[in-house]
Amino acid sequence: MPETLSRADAAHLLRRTGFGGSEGEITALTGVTRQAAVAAAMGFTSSDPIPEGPDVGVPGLVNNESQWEAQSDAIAWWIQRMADLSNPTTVPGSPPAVAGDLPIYEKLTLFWHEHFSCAQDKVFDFPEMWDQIRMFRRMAMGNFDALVRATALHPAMLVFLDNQTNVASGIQENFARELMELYTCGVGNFDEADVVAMARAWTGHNTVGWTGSRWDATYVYRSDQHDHDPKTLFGMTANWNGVIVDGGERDTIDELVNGVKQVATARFIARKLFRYFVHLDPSNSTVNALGDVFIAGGMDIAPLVRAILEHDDFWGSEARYGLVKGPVEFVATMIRRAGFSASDMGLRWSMEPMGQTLFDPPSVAGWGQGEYWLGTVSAWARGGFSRGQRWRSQEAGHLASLDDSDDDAAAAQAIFDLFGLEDVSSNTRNAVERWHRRTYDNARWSTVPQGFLVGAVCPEFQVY
Amino acid sequence: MRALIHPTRRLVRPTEADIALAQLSTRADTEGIARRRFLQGALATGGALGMMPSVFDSIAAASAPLGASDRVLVTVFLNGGNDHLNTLIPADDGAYHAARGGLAVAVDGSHSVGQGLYMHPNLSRLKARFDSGQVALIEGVGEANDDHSHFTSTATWFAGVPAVPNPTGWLGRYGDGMGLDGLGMVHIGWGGIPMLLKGNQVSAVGLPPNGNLFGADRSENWERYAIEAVSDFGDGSTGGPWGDAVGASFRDAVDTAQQIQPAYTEGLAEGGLQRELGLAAEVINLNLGTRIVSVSLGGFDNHDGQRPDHDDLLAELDAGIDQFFSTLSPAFAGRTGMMIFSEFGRRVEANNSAGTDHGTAGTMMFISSRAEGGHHAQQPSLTDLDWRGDMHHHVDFRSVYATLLDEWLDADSHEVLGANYSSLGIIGSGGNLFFDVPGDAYYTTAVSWLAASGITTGTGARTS
Repeated sequence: MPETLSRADAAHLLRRTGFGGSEGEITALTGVTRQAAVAAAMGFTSSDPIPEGPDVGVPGLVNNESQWEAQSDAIAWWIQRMADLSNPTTVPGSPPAVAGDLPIYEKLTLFWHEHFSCAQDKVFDFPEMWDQIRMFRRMAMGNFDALVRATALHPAMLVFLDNQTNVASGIQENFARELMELYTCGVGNFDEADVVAMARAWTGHNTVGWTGSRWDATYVYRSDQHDHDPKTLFGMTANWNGVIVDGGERDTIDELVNGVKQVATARFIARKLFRYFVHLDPSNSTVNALGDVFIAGGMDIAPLVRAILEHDDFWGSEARYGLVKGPVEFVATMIRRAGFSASDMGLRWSMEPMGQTLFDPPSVAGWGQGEYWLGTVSAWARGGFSRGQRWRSQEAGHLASLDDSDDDAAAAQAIFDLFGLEDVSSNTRNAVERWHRRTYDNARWSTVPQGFLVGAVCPEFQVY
Repeated sequence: MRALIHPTRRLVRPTEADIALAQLSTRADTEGIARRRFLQGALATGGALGMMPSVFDSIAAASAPLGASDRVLVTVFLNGGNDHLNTLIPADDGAYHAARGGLAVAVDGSHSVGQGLYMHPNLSRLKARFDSGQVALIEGVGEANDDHSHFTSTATWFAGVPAVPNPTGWLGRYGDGMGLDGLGMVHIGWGGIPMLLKGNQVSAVGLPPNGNLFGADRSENWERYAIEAVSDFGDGSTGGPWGDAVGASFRDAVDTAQQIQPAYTEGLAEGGLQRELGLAAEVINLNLGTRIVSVSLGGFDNHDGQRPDHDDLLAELDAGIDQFFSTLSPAFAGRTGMMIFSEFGRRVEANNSAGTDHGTAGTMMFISSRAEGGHHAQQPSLTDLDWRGDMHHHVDFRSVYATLLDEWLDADSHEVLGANYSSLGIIGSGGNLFFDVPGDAYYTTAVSWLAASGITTGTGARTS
């Protein structure tokens, strides 16, 4: 008998593959098998060909003359999209109107943005940053080799990690190092001699550069700037090239993803995706097994994601509320629940104190998880942000009953419903009821806006 | 700060001068009447227990002022790998100019700090501080296992021990030994607490640079009720470790907000390191038991177009250091020191992008009126390089930590670092509070003592 989803299971899956489920989405997944529920969240079954994610095109805002405006508008646009997308409300087997228009694609796009962590702050070419995000969305579930390859040669990366200036006469190690350490096999699986060999292999993979009228970051291979001498990489002496250009060369990405570093790479990515979807502490045996799934699937990403979501650990107790929402998840979920318009909220400004400005990760390693989002700085910022939204909530008509009735339990439940909180502890419930009692008695007019604030900052809304 | 009583004018009353001069023969370390005992034998120098969040003791409970002789350490982390060769410049060495070409910084005799080294012209105020004997330079510091990775190097420098899973920071373990809960350790910046300040039992409190802390304003009852609900959330359990950790951090934030808010004075600089270090000084001035403060300045990973970016960063560093010491109250000036470090240096030879790749060996600094100013090691050779073209370090970075632990922070360095390191002699026994009072003048100690005793306070906190 395959396991079927309880209502709590369904809500858990929808929190992890999107930004929280509505009543209709939860109901639709309740009672179906894990396999069918995961297939619904991913938009296809294991026997379907792996679909490309949607290409959302280039909104006019991305080409704003001001880089700053373009980035600000794109942050609001992307978070609004996260908040708006829904899972199917009839299950099984109802693909969305646009194939791939499912929230899990935004979750994965965000994951790849964090993984291949390029920053507008350095790239300073917002259309290219946006183009990279579109590429991540299209390739989110596709083949990992293809994704690494496309990312390596994308203008945003060529500029961000300086391979545009890596030439035979003067090597530049920045990209070569991170290609191994952060993007594929991880630290401990290469040494310093490999960094030099890798950098030499990547010489000549540059950008067009100055055209006489503008900087052109389009990828170009300059054979005369490539080091054609043999190089010893991972102990193998060969005519290594970053990516193969001529016959007789060996391809570094192929070696990292499908060759001698395949096991290390598969485990490195499996561990990271597990930590993103499940909890922060997978056992080595789980990681190794998931790495085997990744390899068996030809390094396609979709089978790995499916294996993670179907894994017993995903449905176990350690996973439940075992992740802390990052600011993007916190804000997107709030907007989704309250029906706010992201473009009115000044998110570029208001999310910076929370520690997450999209398109500008703080380092080449992206943002952190878990404890990274704990602490007083985060708490003050989320409190301040939520306080700033309370009148917006009142204007939208939320929680209007709170100043009509002295029923504290009903008031608390209305707040938890607004935020989609399924499992609220008695401590939090008691505290909210006590808050309503005091406020109703002494400052009744403020119950409506303050009710929003109390819900937004309660601990249950910060975890998922 | 500048001395209120200009020594050459002889405005000090004879009786005070007599008392002051009597201090010349008083050993500084006999003042320690309120020194806290460092807990012996309780510290594991290894890693933390696991991925579960650490719920530390409530921070609001503990805000006991410092003992009269308790010292304070401020750490400034130059994030990205500082180009030490363009900070403390070996300009007399032809090898420097040969390797750096256009990246070489032009200096003259006015920048000389002796031993053929010159401070970057943008560090003019630090240079003046050096001239007054308040800056200890430790050249050629590094780590034996430097793999040139930002992440492993940063982890190593933060941990102060060889790589272990889930490491704690050396200052975090110091905090464990001292029982530095509450505001004993403070990190200023966006984002999470660096591992540097995470122990097994205690962790730092994070402060955002901007201020306007959620929970500080409780003047209206209707605001106060909601804030008190946040405290209630954190006092109980949500039923899960992450929810509990979030609840505790929100509670700590609102419970501490009123205490900390006064540190955000009108006089703080608008932004940047100058604001953060000004805030650091104001936090210390509040005397809430803070012994460790950390800040970081990012942007030092100058792989391309290093100039003028790096020059600008040094100007920001110079302004920040100056802001700190000019904001610091005289009551703390004689017992506060600042350590400046980075995860690694840069390669001797410039790369092809008008920048420098990751390298080794750099200069650490300790700045204090109680520092033993001057040079404490030798600049490594620029021609005797390893196979990568990197300098050989000759001072283990942990010997700097050990010296500070044993001689500045009243701790046992072996307990914290798990090994013994020899003292570098960077701590002096004398005191010189005033930026414009030469370190070797006959009246220096007397004036410092007057300030420490509160008889004079200088011409004001921000007039230097």
